Amino acid sequence: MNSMQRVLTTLSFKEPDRVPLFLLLTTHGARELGMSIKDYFADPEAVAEGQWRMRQRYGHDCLYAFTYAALETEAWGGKVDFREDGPPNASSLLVAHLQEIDHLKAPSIKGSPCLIRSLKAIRLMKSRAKVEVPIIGVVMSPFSVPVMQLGFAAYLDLIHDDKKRFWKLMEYNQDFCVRWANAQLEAGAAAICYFDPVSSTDMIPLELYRETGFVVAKKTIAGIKGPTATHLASGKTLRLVELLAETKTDIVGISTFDDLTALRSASYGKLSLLGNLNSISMRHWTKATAEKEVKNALRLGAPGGGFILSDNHGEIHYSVPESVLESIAEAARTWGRYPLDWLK
Amino acid sequence: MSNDHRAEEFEAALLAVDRAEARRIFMRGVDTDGALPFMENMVGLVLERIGLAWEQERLSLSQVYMAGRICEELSLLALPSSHPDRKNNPRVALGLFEDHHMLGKQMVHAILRNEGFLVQDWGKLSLQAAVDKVRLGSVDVLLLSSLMLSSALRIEKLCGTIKAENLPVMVLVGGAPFRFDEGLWREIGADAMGSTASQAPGLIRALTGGRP
Repeated sequence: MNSMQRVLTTLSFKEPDRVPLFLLLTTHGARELGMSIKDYFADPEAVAEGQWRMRQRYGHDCLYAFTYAALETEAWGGKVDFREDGPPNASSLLVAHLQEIDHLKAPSIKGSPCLIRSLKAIRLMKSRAKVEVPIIGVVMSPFSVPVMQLGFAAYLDLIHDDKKRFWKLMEYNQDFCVRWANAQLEAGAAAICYFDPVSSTDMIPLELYRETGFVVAKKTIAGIKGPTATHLASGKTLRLVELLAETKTDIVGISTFDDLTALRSASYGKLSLLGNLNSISMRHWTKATAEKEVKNALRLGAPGGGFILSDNHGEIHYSVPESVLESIAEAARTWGRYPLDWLK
Repeated sequence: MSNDHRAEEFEAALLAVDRAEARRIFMRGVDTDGALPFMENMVGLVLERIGLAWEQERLSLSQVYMAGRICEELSLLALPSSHPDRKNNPRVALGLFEDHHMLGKQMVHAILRNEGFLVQDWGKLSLQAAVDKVRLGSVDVLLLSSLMLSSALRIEKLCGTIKAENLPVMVLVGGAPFRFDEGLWREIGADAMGSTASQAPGLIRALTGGRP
């Protein structure tokens, strides 16, 4: 089986030859190529090459088109801080006063050099991966991107105190998100990861999600012309399973703090699971720890398919050494081969 | 009305984001108990319960934030920052370390103000700005919030400088990376870690031997 067949098989809740592994690597590509993180992300050929080399090195089952979370706010006119010890961050907020929301204008894809670079990287990846390896595109959900546009506290104030302006912002963001997702699909992405951490019940109550983030996700995902994976970026998902399935997303990225047994029981047949290795603590993992963690995730999540082994955040931090990634990949190859006889 | 009943009533108003009802209960408490005792005992207790409920996954972060914010607005009405009853011993400062996500810092700020602390808000801090400020010797406890792992790891350089120069300031850290890696705060040389904002007053007291 190639990677695409492996992934499609598990998504149909069947067991492929082995459990698919997604190492969601971004900044590691810079280290792989001996480049600074800033120069790496400025060069779509380097990003495509970095993804290709890392897949060759670890043997995982995707190419990840995600560069950095602030890419979208950069397209909206924001600035980005590049650093040498981790992912770039938005250096300022897009909206300093809530009134400015009234005059926001969603950027055009073609008029945004940073987005054009990302699309070029996807096209380059696609020219090598063809249909054998899924390329994962990424969008920030319209409901969660305001954390970078306004700041988290101001955004929570907006949700609670100014519903009219909140929905206006959602309209702008939905329009952009759908166009950006579809541009990535047209460039060659096989699926879109819809990052939506604010929707986790860690962040907002379920009732508020039902009135806000759920409504936004349902409408936005309906406009995306390809499969989606909703990722709550370390946020817990168990209480949201039914609603997430109603948004018609195909996969959900799960937290290391999720109860994987309960989650699997609630989601099997409706949503495939992606996760849930702890991407923060894995910096310290020995080979034995990596093996133990991988085996534990496989034991609870992988029988019967519907499971992709990955980290819990949707991005592995730059500080995680390559030796740990190799140990994870090796353990996944050793223990992830179906049927999982070692569980008997 | 019993204290339990009063606490339940106040908690319910906060969680419903019912500002008018919260203000009514708060002002009634200030009238009967006095501003600082009511803030320290009743408001502190309710916010601690709300923080605990978040830790136990019964509430969401937005509810903790909105509750703290409403209390902060009310406590500033009852006891302005310049009021002599505000506690300035130990001297406490709060900063967001190499990050832009203010939520955690604002929540801790609200909790400390609600308990009557006079807090120096140092805002967003680079490593150099933090080093320069602690060298001035105007604080006993520095609370740092960080959302990104990269930023959290760089706090080690600040703690290293504090230790190397023997500066009399203790560093208390909090934020998502510390919740996902329980040993991280020790690794970077901090003196303590708070997993919820409502733990801050207790941790400050523990670090400073019971003051205030």
